[in-house]
Amino acid sequence: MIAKIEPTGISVRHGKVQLRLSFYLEPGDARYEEHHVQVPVIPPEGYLGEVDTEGNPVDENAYNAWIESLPKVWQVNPFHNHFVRVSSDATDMEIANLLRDSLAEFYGMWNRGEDIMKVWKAKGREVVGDMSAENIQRCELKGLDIVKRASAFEHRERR
Amino acid sequence: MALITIGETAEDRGSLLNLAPRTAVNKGSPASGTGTITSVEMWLNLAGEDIEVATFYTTDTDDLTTRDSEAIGSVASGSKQTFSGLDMDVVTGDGLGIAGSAGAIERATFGYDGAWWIDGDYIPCTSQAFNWLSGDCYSLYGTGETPPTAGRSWGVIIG
Repeated sequence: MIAKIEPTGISVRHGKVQLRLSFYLEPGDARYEEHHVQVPVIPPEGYLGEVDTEGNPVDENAYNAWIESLPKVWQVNPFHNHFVRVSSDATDMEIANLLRDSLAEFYGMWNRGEDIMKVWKAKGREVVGDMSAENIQRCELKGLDIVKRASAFEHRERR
Repeated sequence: MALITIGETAEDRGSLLNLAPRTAVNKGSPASGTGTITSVEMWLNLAGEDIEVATFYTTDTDDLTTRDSEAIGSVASGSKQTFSGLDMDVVTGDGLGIAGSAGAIERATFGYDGAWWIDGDYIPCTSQAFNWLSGDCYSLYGTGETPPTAGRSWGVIIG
């Protein structure tokens, strides 16, 4: 199993840097097949049927039929995603520990067959960070720094 | 603290709604309590980009306003995707909605309490007129908690 920081899920929220941690299964992990799925391959030209001014298909049924007709490929999706908020001065070690500990916590629930939506509980309401413009700017810079180095935080856990 | 639920189960359904860009809101199964939505699950038919989720309330029959929102980022298609660690305000009766610049969400077209949609990204929005789909629902569901009630303490003095 692998824990990654998902760069598209990084933002600034409540005066902190919000990180999205995504957890993936590997062959041999519990219930691996549930997120090893086939998805349609969208051709470069996209949907060629009639679309409105926003680019949305006019005939939803024709669009659905087109989706169903496309070739498919296998991919591994996250078995869960979790958001954490860290201060702008969080160290790489603190972030790495969050990835490791969260992977252990959520894989444990997954392995026991528990419904994460029901079992996971927030550990109390978090304290909002410093909302000053200076701190928000520090958080934005920290977020951009983590986006650039997201792959360096990848953590693989051997069963 | 009591459990809050909002929206319709995230599952593989018979139809889809294109999100390119669109905003879609479930009317059915509105928020069962007032507090915080901490987890959300969704099932996309096509991979989503720039996905956001929000709690909405009506200011007129089909006029919606966002109460709070969370940026999710890219979301994989083909299996149920779950997200915990959110911190999104909700009030009893709110609907759960989604917006994205790409992707498609699983949708049922009959048998439910209806849903709204509009072309474009309307997270956030204020008193925005949406289109109504009778009987529809989207595979978008959330859970959360009501705030803790003030407790009583019983002190024991040992003298």
